Amino acid sequence: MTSWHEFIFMGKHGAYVWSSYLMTFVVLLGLLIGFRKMLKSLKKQVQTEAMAPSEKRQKARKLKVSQPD
Amino acid sequence: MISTLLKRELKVARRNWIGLAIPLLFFIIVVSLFPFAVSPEALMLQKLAPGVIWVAALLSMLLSLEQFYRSDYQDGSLEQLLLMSSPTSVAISKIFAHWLLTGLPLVILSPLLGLLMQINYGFEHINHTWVLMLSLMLGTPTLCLLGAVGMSLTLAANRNGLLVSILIIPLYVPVLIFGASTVTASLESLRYNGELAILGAFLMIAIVFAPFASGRALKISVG
Amino acid sequence: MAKAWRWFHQLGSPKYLFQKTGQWLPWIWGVTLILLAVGLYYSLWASPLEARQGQGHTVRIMYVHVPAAALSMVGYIAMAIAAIVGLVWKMKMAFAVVRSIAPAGAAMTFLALFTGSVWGKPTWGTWWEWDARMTSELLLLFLYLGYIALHSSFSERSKADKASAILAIVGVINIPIIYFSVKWWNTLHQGYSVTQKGALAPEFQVPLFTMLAGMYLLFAALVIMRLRAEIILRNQKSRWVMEWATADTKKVTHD
Repeated sequence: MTSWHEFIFMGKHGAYVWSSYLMTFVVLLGLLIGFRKMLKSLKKQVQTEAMAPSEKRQKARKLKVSQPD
Repeated sequence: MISTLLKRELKVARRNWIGLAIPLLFFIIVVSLFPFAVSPEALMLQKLAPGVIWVAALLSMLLSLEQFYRSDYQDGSLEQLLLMSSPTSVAISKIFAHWLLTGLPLVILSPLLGLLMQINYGFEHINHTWVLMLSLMLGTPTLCLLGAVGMSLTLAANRNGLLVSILIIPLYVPVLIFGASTVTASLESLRYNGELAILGAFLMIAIVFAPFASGRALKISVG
Repeated sequence: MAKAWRWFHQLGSPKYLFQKTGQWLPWIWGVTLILLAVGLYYSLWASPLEARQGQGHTVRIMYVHVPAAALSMVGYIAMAIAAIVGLVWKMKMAFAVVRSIAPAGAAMTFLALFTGSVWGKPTWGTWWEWDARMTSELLLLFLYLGYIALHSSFSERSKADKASAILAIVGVINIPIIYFSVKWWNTLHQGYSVTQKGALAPEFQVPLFTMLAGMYLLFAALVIMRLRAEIILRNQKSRWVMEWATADTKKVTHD
């Protein structure tokens, strides 16, 4: 690599190279965020359940978290 | 033990013979769509014939799977069968009955479809019908064995119907490749015994693993 | 040996596994980020162009394509191994591992297909080639999606676990059969082997192996994150999960 210009355009193939890297980044980041959210919402759910008075537990238990796949 | 189970399967199937005829009808109808969609030109149809007939056979095998398992699962008789005998032998009897009542009729019907698809057009001394029948004869049992595994796995699932197709079709690809290419090789006047040998090898592998896997899966679905 | 065995048993305990993975995760992320930073520097900037086959800059796509393709296969094999462990030793956590690998594995398979297709356009002049690797990769994606579809179709989790574990094992037996069938079917396959000596010049090896290592660890980190969520999902009623979830809220009220 000799210049920034070459780095961006990759000698005519810029669109191919950058779209590959961008797609990889987006998909993996999407998974990362999805899994984080899943754990967080589960935690919140358990929390509200633990805080709720016992007669309300039955109701709270029915809340279900959506699973990102 | 297995012969008693098999007799039961055949008895149950006899009561539902229309259900068994439907996949065969489907087989013929799907194939007869191609001349309308592509072209009635004989050479074109001949080129398509191996693939079209094989894909149609594969789909009608998938369609016919349900009736050998679903009703037995729903009315609880599968549970009874599993109490009486080993899961593997229940699986073997079902697989064998499925092949006998769907796979074998497909093999017997295939010359008719070969005729519709002009499989012998332009050949005077060679008859490709036998090759088509032989390839289906060796390939359809493997389709039954793999299908049994998929069907047993999805019995207890909430969704049915299409789910089993999605699970099983990727596993059907090798059989489809070699089944269709046996006939193609014959059409191109090449030797096809290698392809047949590989179809036979697939059958052997499937016979070793599939009844056991299917039996385990039946047990899980019922238990 | 006895120690290793005991450790294996401890991993079967959801609480232990959750705690341990929580301790490992920051380290794994740290190393992953360093490796990926170095790998990206080499693969996008410091590595030379490919001149021998006239690929030029498109060779850079290989540095994400090869790791994605490798992980898609390794992921499925790992799923099958965990499935066998689960079925043979009746280890419930193994099923959670199988389920956790699936989404990351499917993502890697998709990425291998996407980058392969984007690589194919300038190299072969077509977005899609029915060659052995691309076609097997497509079928592998169907196997992953089939696993996820099957697992999510049961109301009872133990049935879902066992049935889809069997599917994973049947699938792994079929992968080599599918691969060789497709390869035989289309011998136009272009061999581009990494392990063959002399196939890859050293200046390409540095970025490739750094990216491989980085992506492996990233994959592991993603699987572990999904696994931690899966563990909580499966143990919502356990006392330790309640304690874990309420630990920081208690701290707030006490302060």
